[in-house]
Amino acid sequence: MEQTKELLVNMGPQHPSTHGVLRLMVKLDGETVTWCEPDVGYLHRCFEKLSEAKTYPQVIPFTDRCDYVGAILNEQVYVEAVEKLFGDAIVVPERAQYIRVLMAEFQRIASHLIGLGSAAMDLGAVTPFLYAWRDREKMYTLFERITGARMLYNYLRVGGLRNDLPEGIIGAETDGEDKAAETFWGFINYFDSYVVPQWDGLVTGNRIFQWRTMNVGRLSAVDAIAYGSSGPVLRGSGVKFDLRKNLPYSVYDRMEFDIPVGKEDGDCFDRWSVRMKEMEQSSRIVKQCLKWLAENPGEVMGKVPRVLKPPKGEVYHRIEGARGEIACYVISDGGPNPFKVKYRSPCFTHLQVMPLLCPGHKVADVIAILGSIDIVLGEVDR
Amino acid sequence: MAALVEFWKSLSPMTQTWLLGLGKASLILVWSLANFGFAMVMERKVSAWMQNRVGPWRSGLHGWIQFIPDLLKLYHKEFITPKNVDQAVYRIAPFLGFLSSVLIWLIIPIGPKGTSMDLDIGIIFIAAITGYDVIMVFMAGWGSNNKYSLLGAMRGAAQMISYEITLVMSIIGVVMMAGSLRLSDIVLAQINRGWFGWFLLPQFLGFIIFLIASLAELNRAPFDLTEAESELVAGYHTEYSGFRWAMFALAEYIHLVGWSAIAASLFLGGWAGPSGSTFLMGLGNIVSGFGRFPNGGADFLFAGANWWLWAHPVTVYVFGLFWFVFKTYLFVFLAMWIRWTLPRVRIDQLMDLGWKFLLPASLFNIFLTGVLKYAASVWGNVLVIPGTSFHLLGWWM
Amino acid sequence: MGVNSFIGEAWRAGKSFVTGLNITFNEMVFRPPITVFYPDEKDDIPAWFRGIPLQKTDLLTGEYKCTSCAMCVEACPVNVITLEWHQDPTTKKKVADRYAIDMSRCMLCNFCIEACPFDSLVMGMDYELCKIDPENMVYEFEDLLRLGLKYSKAELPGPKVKNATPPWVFAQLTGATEADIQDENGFLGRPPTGKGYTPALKPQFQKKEEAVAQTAPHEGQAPAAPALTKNTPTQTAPVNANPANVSAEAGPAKPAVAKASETTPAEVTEVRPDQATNTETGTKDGGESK
Repeated sequence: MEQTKELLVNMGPQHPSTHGVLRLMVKLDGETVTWCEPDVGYLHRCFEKLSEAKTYPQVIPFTDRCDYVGAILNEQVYVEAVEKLFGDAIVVPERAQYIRVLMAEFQRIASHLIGLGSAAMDLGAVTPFLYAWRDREKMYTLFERITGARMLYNYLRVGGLRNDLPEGIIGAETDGEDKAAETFWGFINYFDSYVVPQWDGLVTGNRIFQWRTMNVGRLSAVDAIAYGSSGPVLRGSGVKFDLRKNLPYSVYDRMEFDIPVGKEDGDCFDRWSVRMKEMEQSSRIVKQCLKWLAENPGEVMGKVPRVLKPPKGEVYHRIEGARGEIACYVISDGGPNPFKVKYRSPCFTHLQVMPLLCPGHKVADVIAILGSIDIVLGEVDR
Repeated sequence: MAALVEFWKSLSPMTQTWLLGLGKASLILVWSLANFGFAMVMERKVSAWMQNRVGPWRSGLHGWIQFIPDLLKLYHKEFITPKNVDQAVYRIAPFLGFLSSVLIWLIIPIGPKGTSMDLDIGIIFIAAITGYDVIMVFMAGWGSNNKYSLLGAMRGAAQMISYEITLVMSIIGVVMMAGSLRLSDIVLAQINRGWFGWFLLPQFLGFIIFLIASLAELNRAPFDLTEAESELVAGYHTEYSGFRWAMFALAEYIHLVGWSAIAASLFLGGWAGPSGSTFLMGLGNIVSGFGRFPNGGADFLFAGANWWLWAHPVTVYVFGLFWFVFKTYLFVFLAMWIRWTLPRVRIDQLMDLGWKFLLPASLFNIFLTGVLKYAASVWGNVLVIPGTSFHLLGWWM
Repeated sequence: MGVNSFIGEAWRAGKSFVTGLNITFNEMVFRPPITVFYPDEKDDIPAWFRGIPLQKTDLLTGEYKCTSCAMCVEACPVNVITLEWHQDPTTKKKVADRYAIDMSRCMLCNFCIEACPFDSLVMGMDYELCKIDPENMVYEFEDLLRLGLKYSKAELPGPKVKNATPPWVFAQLTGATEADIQDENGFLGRPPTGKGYTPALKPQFQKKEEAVAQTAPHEGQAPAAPALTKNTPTQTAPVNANPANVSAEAGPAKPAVAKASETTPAEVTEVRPDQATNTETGTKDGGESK
């Protein structure tokens, strides 16, 4: 006799909403998910092994390619890790530090915009996604003017930056929307006055969106910590932990900003609103950086030997990336090539909460949960 | 001309019926294809404008004939039939959907006496025809032998069946107002009530329910669960390609325009347009209580104009067609506007919405309409000043 | 669920939908499209754009500037640069036999330009590099030189300027063509010649060169640059643009201009207004944007 049985559905690797090449194996009982398992590795590019054959600066362009949506942050963790290896031998100029923070926070806004936009598109709202894209293009035009490339910058160097900000890119504090793609102040003012209210009205405040995300994919604080999640996923579960505040690196200890957290038993909506609020906090940090940078010109590259040969040793450096805690572990054997470079990517860690969150929800919720933990497959597989 | 009439009269009644039927069918087909083309490009244009883009741009004037190259491309594409599909079901499904969408146009009054088949059970005919869509979706999903297609088909069947009930229930209010199931009678009833007497206002609750339910019935966002692209790749038509897929697209847009036409007929007065007299009557309706002036009540104002072109049948017909198309596309635009703004609902929320919200609300609407109609007939006229009366519940008279 | 929450939910939902619809409608009506009609119109390229690494030519002598030192080959993280060379027995200089960049694998990281000690490589602004056959994506020396011509300048003899703006920062689009190569014997892709070589200039430039030698006894490139194009109405526009670049390149522009105005005010005043503005823009953001 024929019996009903569970339906095994392969979502991906060519599924429209897996944010890249991710394969989600899902077992369905009707529309309800009973089992879910992510299968990664389709975008593996041997980053860690490859960097063993490269010199220290040559690794920097590869770090861009890990999380291509938040490239500067990945450069920052690697560069700061190598600087840490050198100890006091390399002093990074203060201006370079500030520009790094500025770029990192700006990148965080861009990255969150894309993360939120694609999460909204997974829920069926296409227009917010294109608004996200529109605003990110403006930011990328600014990035292009500074670094020469739109996505994969190769801008940070061990000991500083490749070049200073071009003249006039900071702009005046009164710059409005017409200068959004020309000056930092123009974009930040446009962002605060136009983009954030638009997102609040179009998506966050939308009842259908709230129906879709509230009480979906609840992750308790205990589980979030046990599964090693970080960044907006951890804070969405109500844990107030942000490396920028708790273990400040670079010049974050001089910045004023808050850590938005969700409620104790965070669902998809909490993670969403944490990201929304984080963008506003990033814009606050950017403003502080811009004010400082406008007043303090100077060098952006410290004194660095021509061939980088860090002393023997190992270092583990972690920063707050756009999706969570990015960390870099570098071992040096004293030669020009790193002995080992290890990346801790937040997306890889976050993917493992999928089997925990998905069972019991509908198929559509799998997509909502996947969107809410905001993964980039380049970083998952590296 | 006279010879042609003679020739026509010389034909047997059977031949006349067949020829007339063929003519009407071809007209409907051409009309629906033209509507498909416009609606499809309009969807792409409207979505583009809402997203700060320009949409199709290259073919024709600013891309407005984009549907021709699109259809040509799809026509030339390879028909990929996967192994293990249920051949008969898989092949028939697209054409069945197209059939049901075109059949709707049979009963839609596009002008005074401009109906192909003025069925006196028009509303029920619509409900019956729409039933085909469920079969189409399910055949396509089942025949494709694909898990995503099957899930989409299951969703589609559940969704369409539950929303059909709500849909018919929401129309019953209008039927009660007009006293007829025939669509042209419904339009005439609205024309007789004057401009602001359209059923949109007295039946506002019914209109909202109709709007939501017809969006669900059409599988348009935010209820496009059967083809939810981020969940079920393309839902029931995942396995279709080439012109078979184009048949689904054709069906979708013709259906959309057809439903908009029905909505325009039911709630916005069909072909009736704001001519001079109806505009004045509408003002009169507002000033002196709703439904005070029936149509023609102010004809004495325009008595002199009647011998001009206003009253000529051709003028009336052309203007009627214009207003009908205008109102239809108002609804088409509304559907597109909603689609490109709202996120998609989940399947259980959809069923909740249908059965727990909309169905009770539509039943309440029927109750409300009945009560108000009765109240209007009993206490409708409120004496304000001796000699004149204010029609408090005039809308429902 | 009570009737109150029923109506309340409907009200909240309706309100939020109207807010959303209002936003999209405003975007539709009041916001212009941001589309760039790509093949017809192209977006502005910033001065620091990284498109393709190219080889520069010295327009004065027609020699390529590459010395086959292989610094770029070492710096390249993805090993896309192929360099083969031999030593010229007479001049004892390295001559490149083959210099090729496989653009299908290049990731435009800019490291080769930064590594180049002779300012021979430049990051070009060309970005439409698609080829039907991927094998054609290997850009040979000739291709690189030809594409790099429009970023090349006429190098004037003189000491190298230290602490200048890094050459890799500004991809200057001078718009030079093969016709602008000064040496009439010179041809594109000619290897560097010995030290005693003096370029045979095109006839219309020869006198000017002598005039420069006579009127400008101070050894500096900055004064020479305006003098080179002085009273040359026959010259084409790209060459007219050259002096600006030369002076911009001559140093961290502002000091150079200052020096020029100090030492030889006469020559500087003779610069035509358009050239003067060119120079200023050149000093401002480092590259004149054409």
